[in-house]
Amino acid sequence: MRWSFPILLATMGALAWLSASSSLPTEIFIFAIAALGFNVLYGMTGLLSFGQSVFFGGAAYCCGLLGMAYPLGAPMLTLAGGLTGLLVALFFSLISLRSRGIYFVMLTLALGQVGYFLALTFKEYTGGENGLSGLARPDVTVFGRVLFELQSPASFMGYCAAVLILAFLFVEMLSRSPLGSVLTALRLNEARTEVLGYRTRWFRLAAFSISGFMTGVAGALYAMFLRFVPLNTIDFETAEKLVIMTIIGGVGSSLGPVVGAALFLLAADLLSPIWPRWLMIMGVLLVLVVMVFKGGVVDLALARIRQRRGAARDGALRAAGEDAA
Amino acid sequence: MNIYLFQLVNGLGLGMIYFLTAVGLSILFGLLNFVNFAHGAFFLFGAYACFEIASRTGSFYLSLLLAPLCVAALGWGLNKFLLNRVMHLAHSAHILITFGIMLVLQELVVLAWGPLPQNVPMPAGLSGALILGSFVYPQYRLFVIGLSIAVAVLLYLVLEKTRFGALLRAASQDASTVSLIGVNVAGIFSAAFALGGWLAGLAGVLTAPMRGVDPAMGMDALAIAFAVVIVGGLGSFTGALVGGLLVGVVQSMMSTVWPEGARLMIYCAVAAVLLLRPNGLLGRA
Amino acid sequence: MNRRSFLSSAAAVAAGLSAPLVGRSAFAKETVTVGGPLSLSGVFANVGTPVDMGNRMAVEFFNRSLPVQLQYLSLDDQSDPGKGVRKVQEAIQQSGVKYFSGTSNSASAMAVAKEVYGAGGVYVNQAGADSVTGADCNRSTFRWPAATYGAIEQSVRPLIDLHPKARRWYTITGQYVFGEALLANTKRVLAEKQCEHVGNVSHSLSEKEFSGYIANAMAAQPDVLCILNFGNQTMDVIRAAVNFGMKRNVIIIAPWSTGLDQFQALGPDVVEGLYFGIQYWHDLQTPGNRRLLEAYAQQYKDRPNHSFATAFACTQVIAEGIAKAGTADCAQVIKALEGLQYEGICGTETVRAGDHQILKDCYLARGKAKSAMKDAYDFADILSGGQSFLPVEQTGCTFPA
Repeated sequence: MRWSFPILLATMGALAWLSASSSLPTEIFIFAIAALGFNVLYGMTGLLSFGQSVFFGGAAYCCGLLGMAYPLGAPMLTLAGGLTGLLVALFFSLISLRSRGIYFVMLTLALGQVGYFLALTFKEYTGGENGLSGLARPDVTVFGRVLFELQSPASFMGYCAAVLILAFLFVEMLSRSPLGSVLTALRLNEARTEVLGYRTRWFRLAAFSISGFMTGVAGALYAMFLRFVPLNTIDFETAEKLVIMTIIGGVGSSLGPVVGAALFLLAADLLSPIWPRWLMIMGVLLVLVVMVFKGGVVDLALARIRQRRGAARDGALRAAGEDAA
Repeated sequence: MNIYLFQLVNGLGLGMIYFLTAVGLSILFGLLNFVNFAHGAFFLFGAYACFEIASRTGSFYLSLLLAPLCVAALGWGLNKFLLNRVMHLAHSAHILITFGIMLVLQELVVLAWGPLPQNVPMPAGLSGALILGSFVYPQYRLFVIGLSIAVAVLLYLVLEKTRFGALLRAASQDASTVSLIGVNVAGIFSAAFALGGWLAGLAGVLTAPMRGVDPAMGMDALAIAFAVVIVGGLGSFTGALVGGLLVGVVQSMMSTVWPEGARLMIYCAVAAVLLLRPNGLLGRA
Repeated sequence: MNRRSFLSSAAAVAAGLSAPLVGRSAFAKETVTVGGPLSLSGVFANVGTPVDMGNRMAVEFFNRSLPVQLQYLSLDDQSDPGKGVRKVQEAIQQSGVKYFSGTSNSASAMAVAKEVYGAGGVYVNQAGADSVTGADCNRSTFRWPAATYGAIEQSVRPLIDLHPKARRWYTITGQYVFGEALLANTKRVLAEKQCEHVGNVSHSLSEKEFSGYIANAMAAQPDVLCILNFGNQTMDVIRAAVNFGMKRNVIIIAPWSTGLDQFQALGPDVVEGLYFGIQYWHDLQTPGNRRLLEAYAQQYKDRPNHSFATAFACTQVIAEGIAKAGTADCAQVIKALEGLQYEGICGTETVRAGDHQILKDCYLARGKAKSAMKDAYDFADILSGGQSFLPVEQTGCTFPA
C-alpha cells in the first residue's frame, strides 16, 4: 500500500506528540517491532506461534547480561539481541519442522514453557523470579565514540522509533520480494508450494529466523528501556500479548501490527485505571476481528476508504457515461 | 510402600483426573473438528459455579449435579449463538476466537467473584484418608478417580453404543448425508458442545475442593488438557485416556526422580511426542 | 495535554480546594502525592487490591496529623513489573510524585526501588525478597516486613522449643530465590538446635499438583513438615498434606504465611492445629493496631488482612517520617526516618539506619478448632513473637555513596 509509510510516520509522530511522557510511545514502538516479527511468522507464513516470548525474553536476558559484561554500544546490543532471537527461533523451527496446524501451536506453547523454566532455573544469570536488574543503557557508540546519548527518555524513544522505521521498511520490502511471495504461498497452500519445487523446509526456517531476529531486537530494546528484565518477558503472557496485538491490528499488512500494538497498549494505559477488567474488551475485539473484520482494524479502515473511493469512482463513471451518452 | 510404586499408583489416579479434564477438548476436536481454547474457561466456570452453589446451599453433591449442567448450558449457548458460524473456518481461527472468549469469561469471573482465591470445603463424608497399612490416600481423591472411571465408561458407551453417539460420529464425518436422512445436524452439534462443556465443568467441580478456586485455574487446566490431548492425540477418546495416564504418571514419578522439573516434564513430554509422532500417539491429523 | 495529565491535575486542584479552611488562611497545606505501584489486574490482583485499599485508608487517616496534605495515586502495573517501572517513571516525571508505598510482588518492588532511588524519592514496601534491604538496598528504599531470616527465626525456632521431641524435619521448598533463602535459614536453625533435616524436595514456581511431593515427605517419616514457599503454593501444599492425613502424626508449619486471607481460603478444618509464621494478625493488642482496627471498622465489616495492614504500615512510615521532619523534602525525611521509633501496628517499630529495614515483631501462630473460634475471623492464636534481624554487616547492604 502506497500510503503505509507516511501513515506509519504520522501515527508515530502523533503518539510521541500527544503523550505527556515518552515511556508509553517507547513501549508501543518496542512491541510494534515484536508484533511485526510475529506477523512475519503468522500473517505471512501462516504459522501461529505462541512461543514468541522465548525469542523476546531470551534476547532481553542476553542483551542484559552482555551489557553488564562488556562495554558495548546500543546498536551492538540491539544486534546481539536480534542474533539471540534468531538462534532460538532456528532451534524452535528445527524441532517443529514436521508439525502442522494445532500440533504446531501446541509445540510452540510447550517450547515456550521450557524457555520459562530455563529462565527460572538459571537464576544466577537471570535473577529468577526477581528478574535481572541493574542493567545499563549504553549510548549509540561507533568504535568507542559516542554519536547519540540515549540516557534521556526522549532520546531513547527516538532510537526505538528509528529501529521501528527500519523494521517496517524491511517488512514492506520483504512482502514485495520473491521470498515474501514464497512465504505467502506457504500460508495459502503448503503442499502445492512444495510440488512447485520450493524446498518448504528452508523457507520455514527463513520465516522463523526473520521473525526471531525482529522479536529479539525488540527484546533487547525492552531490556535497555527498563534497565531491568522481568520474568514475564519470557512467560506465556508476552506471547499472548503479541498475538492479540497483531490480530486486532490486522495481519494482512505491515501497518496492522503497529496499529494493533498502539491500540492494545493505549487501551491498557487509559482503561486500566478506570476499569481493571479492560482485558475483556480485548477478548471481544479479538473475537470480532477474527470473525468479522478479518483483516483487523487496519483492514476495516482501508475497506471504508476503498468503499468511499469506489463510490466516488462509480459516480464519476456514471457522470462520464451520461456525458458520453 | 515403596515410593516408586506409590508414585505410579498416584500417577494413574492423577491421570484419570487429567483425562476427565481433557476429554471434553478431545471430543470436540474429534467430533466437530473444533479446537476449543475456551475449554479452560468452562473448567473455571464449573469450579466457580461449584463454589457459589456449595456456599449458598452447603451441599457439595448438589453443586456436583448442577454446576456441570450450568457449564453445559454455557457451552450450548456459545455454540448456538457464536461458534456455529465459525466452525467452517481454519483451526487457527478457532484458536483465536475461543482464546478471545476465554479472556472474556476469565475477566467475568473476576468481576463476579473478585480476584482472591476461595475455599470449597470437602464434602463431609470424604474429607478423611484411606489407610491400608502404610498406604495412605485421601478419600476424596479416590472418589474423584472412581467417578472419572465411571464417566469414562459412560462416555464410551454413549459414543459407541447409543444412537446419539452414532449420529454424532456420522455427522462429524459427513454432515450433509446425515442431514439428508432427516437428522437435525445443528442440534446434534449443539448437543456435542453441551457435552464438552459438561465434561469440562465436571472436572472443574471435582478439582475445586482439592485446590480451592482462583481465577487463574482455567489457564492451568487448559495447559494440562492440551498436554494430555496432544500426547495422546487429538480427537481420540482412547488418546485422551492414554495421554492422561501418561502425563499423570510422568508428573508423579518426576516428583521423586527430579522434583524441580516435574512440571517441565509435562511440556517436555509434549515436545518429545510431537517430535516423534507429529499427530500425537493415537491421533489423527 | 493528554487526558491523563489533565485528570491528575484536575484531581490535584480539587484536592487543593478541599483542604481544610483553617489551613487556607495564611499558607495552604502543600499537597504531597503518595503513589502506590501495585497490581489491580492480572495474576497479582489478589494482593494488589487490598494493598491499594490499605494505602488509601492510611493516607486519609494520617492526613489529620501532618503538616502537609497527603493524597493517593494508584499506579496499576497490571501484574507486569515492566509496566510498573513505566508507570512510576511517568508519575515521577509528569506529576512530580516522590513518595511511593506498597507493592504486589518482589520483582516489581525491586525494579520500582531503583527508579525511585534514581529520582531521589522515598519508597516503602512490603516485599519479601531479602535483597531489598540486602544486596540491592539503596537510600530511598525502606522495607517493612521482616525478611526470611526473621520469619524463620520467629517461627521455626519457637516451634522447636515448643516440641522438643520433634527432631526429624522434612522441608518442601520452592525452587526459586526466595524459597532457597527460606531453606538456607531453616537449615541453619535446625543445625544449631541439633534437629535432623531428614530430607528436602523442591518444586517449581508454577507447580500446582503436590500429591507426589507429599508422598516423598511421608516416605521420610518426619516429625515436622516445613513448607518453604509463598502465596497460593503454600495453600496448595497445605491442602495436599492435610488431605493425605499428615495431620495425624506430623506437625505442619508454614513459616511464611500471610495469615487471614490464607486461613479464609483454606477453611478452619484445614487450619486447625497447623503452625504459621505470620507478620501481622488483626488481633494484636498493640495501640497501633487498635487504631487501625477502629479506622477499618468505620469503612469495612470484616477484619484487615496482611496485604491491607502492611500497606497501612508502609504508608505510616512515610507519614511518620514527614511528621518528624516537619517537611516533605525527601532528603530530610530520609534523614528523619533513620533511627526513628514509632508506634506501629506490631508495637514499637524502629527504622534501622544501616539498611532501612523496619525492625518489628514476627509471630508464630497456631490454628484453632472451629468450635473455639470466637468469630468468623478468629482462626488462630498467637503463641509467640519477637524481633530477629541479621546485623547490618551480614545483610550485604552497603549504601552507594
